[in-house]
Amino acid sequence: MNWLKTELTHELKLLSLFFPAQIIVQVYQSVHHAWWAILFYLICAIWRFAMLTGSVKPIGKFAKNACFITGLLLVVFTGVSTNILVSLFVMLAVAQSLKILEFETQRDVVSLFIIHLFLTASTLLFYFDLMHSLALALSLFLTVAAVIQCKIKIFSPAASLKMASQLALVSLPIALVLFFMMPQLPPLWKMAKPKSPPTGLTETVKPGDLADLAGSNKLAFRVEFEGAIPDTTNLYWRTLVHESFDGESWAISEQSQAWKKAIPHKQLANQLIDTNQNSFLYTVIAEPSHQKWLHALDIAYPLADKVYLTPDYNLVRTEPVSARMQYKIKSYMHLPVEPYVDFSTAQNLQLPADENEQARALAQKLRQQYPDDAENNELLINALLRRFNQDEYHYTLKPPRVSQYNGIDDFLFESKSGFCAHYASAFTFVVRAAGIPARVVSGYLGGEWNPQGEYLSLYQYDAHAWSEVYLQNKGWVRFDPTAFVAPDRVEMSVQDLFKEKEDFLPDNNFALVKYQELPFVSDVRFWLANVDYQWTRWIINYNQSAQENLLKRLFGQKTDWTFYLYLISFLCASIGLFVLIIWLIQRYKKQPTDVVKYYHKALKALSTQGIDKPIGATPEQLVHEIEHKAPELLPIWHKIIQLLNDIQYRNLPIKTKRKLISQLRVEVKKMQ
Amino acid sequence: MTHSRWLSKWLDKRLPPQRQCKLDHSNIFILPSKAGVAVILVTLAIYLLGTNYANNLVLLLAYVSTAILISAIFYSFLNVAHLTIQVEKTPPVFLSNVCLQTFRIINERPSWAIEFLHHDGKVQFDLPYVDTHLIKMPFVPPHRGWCLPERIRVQTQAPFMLFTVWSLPHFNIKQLVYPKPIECPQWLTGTGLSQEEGQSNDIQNAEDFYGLREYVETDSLKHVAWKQLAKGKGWLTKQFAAPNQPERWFSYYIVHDNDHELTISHLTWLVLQTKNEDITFGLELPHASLGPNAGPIFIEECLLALAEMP
Repeated sequence: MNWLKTELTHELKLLSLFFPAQIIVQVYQSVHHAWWAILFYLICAIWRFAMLTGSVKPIGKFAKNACFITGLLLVVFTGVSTNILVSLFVMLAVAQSLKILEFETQRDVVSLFIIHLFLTASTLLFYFDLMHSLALALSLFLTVAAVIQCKIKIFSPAASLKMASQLALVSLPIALVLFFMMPQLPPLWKMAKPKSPPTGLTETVKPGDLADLAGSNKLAFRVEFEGAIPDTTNLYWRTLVHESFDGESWAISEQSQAWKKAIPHKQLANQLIDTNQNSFLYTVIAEPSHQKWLHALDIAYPLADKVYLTPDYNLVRTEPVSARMQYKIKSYMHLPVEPYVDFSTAQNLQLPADENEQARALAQKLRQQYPDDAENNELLINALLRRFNQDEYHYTLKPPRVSQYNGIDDFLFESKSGFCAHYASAFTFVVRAAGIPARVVSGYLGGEWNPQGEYLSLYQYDAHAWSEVYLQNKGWVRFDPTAFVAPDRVEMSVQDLFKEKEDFLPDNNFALVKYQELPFVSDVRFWLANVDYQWTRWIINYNQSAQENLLKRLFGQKTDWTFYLYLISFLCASIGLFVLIIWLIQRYKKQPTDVVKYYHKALKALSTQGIDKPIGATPEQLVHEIEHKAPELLPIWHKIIQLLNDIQYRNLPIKTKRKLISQLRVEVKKMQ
Repeated sequence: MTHSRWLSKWLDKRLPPQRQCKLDHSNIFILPSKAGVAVILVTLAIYLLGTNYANNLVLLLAYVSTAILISAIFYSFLNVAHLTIQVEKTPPVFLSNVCLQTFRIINERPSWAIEFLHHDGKVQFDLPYVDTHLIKMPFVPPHRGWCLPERIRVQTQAPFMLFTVWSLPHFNIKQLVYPKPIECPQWLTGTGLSQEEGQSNDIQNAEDFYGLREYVETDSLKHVAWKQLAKGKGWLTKQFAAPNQPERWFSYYIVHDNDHELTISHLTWLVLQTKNEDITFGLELPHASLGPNAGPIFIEECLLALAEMP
């Protein structure tokens, strides 16, 4: 452990700054691309550390080549097993590891800095929470400190960090001004999209699936309303419509899939505006789901580009949502009486040929009670819902497993306990069996109000499934069988509903949301959520229109060229102000303090006596010469030395120091 | 530093030779270093990445990188601005020896990793404290005589290595360079004068005439007092004050051996040899003759004359 006692060598200082910085980016690369990247990095870094401390011989040419070839093979292997983009990122990670093993010159340090910039950029493509951005900022900060350390060898790591923080303080405002003011360009060319598995709701719903989602406290989307907010009982956020049932799961019909591909459907959206007046205006900020479906209240009229309404009232986008995106929606709460589309009758009456005989029998029985008639249809549905309400049905997050066949029968007549998807599925099945068109809709229900940010958050555990039935003269009407089993679910969130039980988020003991009752926890959670929300709103989803709004707010509504004139003059003015501030600070720093001024006056007085201070000489060293050439000044000089030492080196209160400085002035005057 | 003629003309206008040079915005140049160019390109690449993926965080990273580049210009500039550089007078050196040129540097704020570059060498130093510093820089003079030191390059890439900041101050101080001494022991005892040896000897002898004595056969016929003989006073020999110790002369013409510079080097060596013994000597050069005289001041005079030889 010799190295602890001696001062750190230049390379060790660099390593102490590089290591924590690079660990951060390497962890991200490992988590997202290839788990072994961090292992490879650790081996290289520890090896280098051992070499620097002298416990291992310097690396030979052979070992160096071996490392290089290993890294290369790993990259090629990743390239073969995944795609080119991933192997590119992994190559950067490996290059960083190899460089840390052998960095020597300033050039190596610069290449490490450049690799780090690229790795940070590649990580930011996938991780955009504020927390991740802060971690990456920290790692970039440490790397900048390492670059400083490399150039100014006499610095300690602490001094390098200090200078790096100065740089950060100066650079960040410039970066933010650039970010908010620079025009946002549209993509210049198409790039390979980073691919990720879809999250959240799936296109095919098995009744058990939604219960799994209820175990996730990941954010799904957030909503900010402009103006009125609908009742909590109306917060049904639709995402997907499932019209095709195969006996086990509900899938999107082929017709809808075709709609998804053949967009846009402007016509339907325009029709909405004509017929409805009662509307809500809001902005949805969706987390990446890597799917094309978006979330909105019934019935949404999209006010955003590249977002379209399908004939079954779903919102769909041309590209999967691969990053946080926001879109503005106007929702009309009352369903219009729509022209019934012929093909959907068949689709929404579709049932598998056999199985679930008991359920079919139930439907027949109900049909007999209420013969086919527009009014009777509603009565039939109400009778069915009453059954859910009055029989021994339970709402639970942990439904018993049902058999693959006859799943609906098992649920309706045996277990009688399930999650929303079970009820929606069974309800739709029976209604269809009774000859009424019906479909399952999945989406989210309710939302958590963040009082600090004044927005609504919907988490994956808010996922919900309900049914829609086509009633003549009324069109598609929403029925939520869950509401009849557990009426609370509609008014409360799953979080509140299962608060008392262990069921809620069973695998996630660290989720703050579980400890909501503690007031402090609740505040902190809302605060953190709000910070992340503002971050998303202002940074991640800042776009051309947001920029226009901001500029309008800053400069007022202007025609194009005057606006740019204002913008340019504003930028020039802010740059000028910045330069002026720096100049003033430097000037202030440069101004000799009074002490130095008086000392120089004293020296000037001495030089009239023929005593010149040699460079680097201390006041004490002049005593001898003064004794020879001007002995009468000697006592004053001694006094001055005493005062200088007191002022500069003794830790005195400011008042005393001021007194001493004025004494110094008097003494110096005596010399002239 | 070699510059094109146009450039050096421009530089002479902008940075005329001075005794002291204060670095400020009028004489500091800033350009991105190789590392800086690389980082600029990487920033552009990141900007394109961010634009094409419409990812604001990547764009923000590109802007942060841009902001670092912009601030680095200021940092690099402030690192050398307000340095005052003076050249100190350096004692003469002999050709082919290294001359340590001394610079007095006054900084008003800490400066880091300042480099002084010259075609013969490079000095790098940090000035962490505000003070007056003396920096010695090795310099190999190109020829004897008065050397005008070339422009030195004051340069730094600190603190971020992204920009090279440099200035090319020119100092109007002449450095005296003595010729390179080359041994020639055969002339150590003096060469005598080259021309009118007899006459000058006579003059010298006449001045130093001391007396007459009886002629001995071994006496040189040169020293026979012929006048006395003609007057019939018999064979007498002239006696001189220091007959075997004539003044030491080092003559360019006698040492000359077809090589002008070599001759000067030989003479330099000869002059230097007298230093230890405090010998009186004279130096005969094509355009002047010095001495005879002795002492360190005279030696310096001789060396200066030798250095200034065409």
